[in-house]
Amino acid sequence: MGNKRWPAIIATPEMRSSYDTVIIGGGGHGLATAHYLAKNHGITDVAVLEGSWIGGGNTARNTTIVRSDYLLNASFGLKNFALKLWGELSQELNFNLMYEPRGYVDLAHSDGELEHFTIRANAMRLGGASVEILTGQALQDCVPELDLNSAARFPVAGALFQPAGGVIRHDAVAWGFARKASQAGIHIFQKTPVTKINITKDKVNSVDTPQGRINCRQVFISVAGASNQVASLAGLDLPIHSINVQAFVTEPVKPALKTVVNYNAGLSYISQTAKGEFVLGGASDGYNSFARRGSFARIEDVLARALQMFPFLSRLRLMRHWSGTADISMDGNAIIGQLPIDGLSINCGWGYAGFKATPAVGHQMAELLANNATPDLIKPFTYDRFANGAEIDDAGAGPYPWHH
Amino acid sequence: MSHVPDCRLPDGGLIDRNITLNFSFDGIAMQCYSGDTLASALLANGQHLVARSLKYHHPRGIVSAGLEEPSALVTVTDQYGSTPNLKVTEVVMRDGLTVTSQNNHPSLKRDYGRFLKLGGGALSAGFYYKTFLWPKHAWHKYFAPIIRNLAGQGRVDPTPDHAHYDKRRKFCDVLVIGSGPAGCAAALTAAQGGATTILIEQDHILGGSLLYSQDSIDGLNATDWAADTSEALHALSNVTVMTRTLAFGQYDHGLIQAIETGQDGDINRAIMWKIRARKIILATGAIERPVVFPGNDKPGIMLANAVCQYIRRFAVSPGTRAVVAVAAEEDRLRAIAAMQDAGIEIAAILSPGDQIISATGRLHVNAFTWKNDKGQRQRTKCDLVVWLDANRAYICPDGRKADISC
Amino acid sequence: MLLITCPHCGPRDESEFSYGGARRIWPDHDANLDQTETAMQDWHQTLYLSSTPSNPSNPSGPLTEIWYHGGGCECWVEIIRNTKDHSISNRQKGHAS
Repeated sequence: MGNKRWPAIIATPEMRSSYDTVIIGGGGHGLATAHYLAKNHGITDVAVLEGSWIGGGNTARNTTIVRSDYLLNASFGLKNFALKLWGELSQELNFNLMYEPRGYVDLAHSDGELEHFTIRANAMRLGGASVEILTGQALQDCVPELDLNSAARFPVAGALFQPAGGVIRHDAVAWGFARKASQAGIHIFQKTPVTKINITKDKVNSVDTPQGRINCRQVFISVAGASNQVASLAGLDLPIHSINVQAFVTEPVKPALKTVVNYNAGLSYISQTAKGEFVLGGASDGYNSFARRGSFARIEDVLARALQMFPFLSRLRLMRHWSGTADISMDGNAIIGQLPIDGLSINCGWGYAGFKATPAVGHQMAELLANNATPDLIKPFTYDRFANGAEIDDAGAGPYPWHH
Repeated sequence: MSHVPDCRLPDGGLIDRNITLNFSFDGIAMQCYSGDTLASALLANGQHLVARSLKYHHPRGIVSAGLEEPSALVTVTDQYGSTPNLKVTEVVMRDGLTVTSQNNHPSLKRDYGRFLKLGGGALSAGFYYKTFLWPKHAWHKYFAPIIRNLAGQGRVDPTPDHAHYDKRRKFCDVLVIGSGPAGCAAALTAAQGGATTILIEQDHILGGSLLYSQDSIDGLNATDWAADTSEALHALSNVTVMTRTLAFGQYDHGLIQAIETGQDGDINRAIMWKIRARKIILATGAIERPVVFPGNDKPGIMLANAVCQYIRRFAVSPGTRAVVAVAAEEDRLRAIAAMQDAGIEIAAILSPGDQIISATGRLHVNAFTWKNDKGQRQRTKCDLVVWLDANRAYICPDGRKADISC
Repeated sequence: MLLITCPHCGPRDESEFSYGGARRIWPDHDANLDQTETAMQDWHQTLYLSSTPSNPSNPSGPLTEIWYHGGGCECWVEIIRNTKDHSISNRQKGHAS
C-alpha cells in the first residue's frame, strides 16, 4: 500500500562546524521558524538544536486549541495571522495537521463580563475577524450539549463565539514543520542541548554543545520553560517565571461535544479529540516549578468547573494527566525579537498560550532573522518594554506571572 | 438458564451460592452469585467475546482478572444511568445490572467495523498524518466526522448524573497500599507497633493473591489466613481498612489520592480520598506481562494467574482444552494444577525457547500453532491459551519483528 | 499538592496559602520622590527581574519565596523550595502582614 515506504520524519545529518543561523529549541515555534526561513527566504544554512526530542515539549503537552479572541491589537494581530496560516498549513507541509475549525465558545458569567466580551468582539471585528456574541437560544443551538438550565454556581450570561477557532493535532505540528524543514536541507539535531553561548564584543559568534562548537552569525532562542536558563548562558536576565501547567484527558467515547468551550469563572477549557477523549485544561498550578509534577488541586478545580458546563462528564473517568513548564512573563504576553546582544534574538513568555501562535511566530521570526529588522506584527513584544512601561497586559493582572 | 452454557464449577470459590444475582449482557438474561466480578459472571455464562477493539474492531475477550485488563470494556447501566468503558474485571456484581458491549454495529458477533481491516496498509500507524489532505477543506468537512464516529469506545449518557460524590481527607502514620500477604503483614505489624495505620485495597475483600493461592501461611491455607488477618485488622482500633478503594496517584510531599467506590445502600457513589501519611508502603504486587504474537487478542487467550483466579476464587472454568505458554515454571505449574482441578484438558505445554507462530479462530481461539525447539511445526485445537512471559523466553514470529494490528 | 510548614500553624496544605512569588529585596529608594535613572533601573530590576544576581527569581533549583497563609494565621511565610522537585529544604520565618 501507499503508506509503507515513508522515510524517517527528519534526516540525521553530520553536524557542521558552522551555520549561518542556529535555532536553540526544536519546539513548534523553533521548527516553524526554520520552515519559514527556508520557504520564504531561501535560507537553509540553519541548525535547529533540541535538548531532548522533537515533539516532546510543550507542543506535545497543550490542549490543541487555536483561536484569536484577544482584546489588545498586538495580541490579536499575531494570533489572527496564525489562524490564517493554520488554514493553509496541511497542504503547504504535505502533512495532515487535522485543523478542525469547530468553533470556539468563550462563556461569560455575568452581564458585566458579557459587556467586556462585546468590547473584545468589536475589537476583533475591527481587526477583520469573524466573531459573534451569543445569548439564550442562539448559544444553546451553537452548543447543544451545554447545560444552561441548572442552578450552577456561575450561570452563563452569554458567550463570545469565534467560528474559525478550533483544534489542531498538536504533535503533527512539530513533526510536520520538522519534516518540511529537514527536506529543505535544514539540519535538526535532537538530544543536543546548548551548554554555552559565546559572545565577543557584544556579538554572538558561536554556541557549544556536547557534540562540539558551532560557529554562527546569529542565534535564536526559543525554548519556552527553559528560557531563563538558556538566556543566562548569554548573561541575560528575563522577566519570566516558569510555572507548571497541566492538561488531562478522559477515556475515549463516541462524539458528544463538537465545539471548543471555555469556562471563565475560574478557568476550564474543554474539547473532544478525534479519538473521542475529552481533553481539559485550566489555569497554571500557580507557583514557579520546573518539576513537571502537577498538583491534583488544579485538576479538581478544572473538573468542578467543567461539570458546571457539562454535568454528564461525571460519568467519565480521567485516563491520563500530564504537565509542562510554561514560561510566563510579567504581563502575561510574549517577548519576541532582538536582544541587546548583536546577533541574539529570543521568543519566550508565551505561557500556556503559545501553541495557537506557532506559525505566526515562525513566519515573523524568519523575517526578522532574514532581514535583520523587526516586522510590524511582533514589534510591540520587545524585551525592554517592562523597563519602558509599555507592557501588553491583556488581563490587567500586573507583574504577577502566576495570575496570568 | 438453559440457553447459556454453564461454566461454573460444582463447588469451591469465594462466592456465595445462596445469593443469586440477575444481570443481562446485550439483552440476554444471565445469572451469577454474590462475590462475582462482571468478568467471572460473564465467563460463568460462557461469554468470552465481550468487546471489539478500537481501530480494526477485532473480537476481544477477557485477558486478565484485574485492573490491568486491556480489552474487555463494556457499558454498565444501573439506577444512575449508564457508564461507558468499564473494565469487566473491576465491576463487582450487584443485582439488576444491564451490561452492553461497545463499538460494534449491528451486533458484537456481526460487526461491520471488521471490514475496516480490509483497508489494511492504508490505516497503518499514523496513517492520518499522511492521508485525507486533499481537497483542502475535506478533512474538516468529510473525513474528520467519519473518523470521529468510528473512534471512541462507549457512548456517554448525556443526561446529568444525579448520584452523590464526596471528597474526604485522612491522616495516618503508616499507609499500606495493597492487601496481599505482604500488605496484610505490614499493616498488622505497623498497627501492633502502635502506629495509626490505613490499609487500602481496591478489591472488595482483603487478600490479593491469597484469594486464589494454594499455599499455606502459619499452618493455615492462604484464604483462611487472609480471612483471619482481615478479622484481626478490623479488631484493632488504630487500623482503618478501606476496601473498594483504588489509590491512583502519589502527589507532592506524600499525598496519596484514592477513589472509594460505594456499594448498594451507600449515600455516595464514590468518595475521593486525600491521604497524608508519614510512611507509605507499596504492596501492590505485580502485573503479568504477556508475550506478543499474531492473534494474541482473540477471546480465550488469558494470563496465567487470571486463569488460576477464575478457577480458584470464582469457581469458573474458562475453557475445556488448553495450550499452556507460560515461561516461568512456578506460574506454569500453578496454572496447570488449577486447570487439572477444574477438569480442563491440557492439549500442549510449550517449553521456553519454542517459537510461537499464531493463534487462530474467528470469534474465539480454536487452534494454536508453534515450532518446538527442534524446529518442528506443531498445531493443536484448543479453546483456551494460557499465556505469560515475563522474561521473553519465547521467540516471537520472525525472530523479533512482529506486525500486530489492533 | 504541597505541604508547607507554617512557623505558627505547623504543616498545612497548599490550598490554605496564596503564592507571593520570589522574595524580593526592595531597593533603598523612595518610590514617590526618587526619579533618578539609577532608581528607575533598580526598581525595574527588583520588580521584573531577579532581586540580586545571587537571588534569581526563576531558578531551576532552590527558590526563596513567600506564601500568604490566608487559611490559617494570616501571616506571610518565607520558605526555600526547590523548583526541580518541590522539596522544601528549610523553613525560614513568618512575618506579620
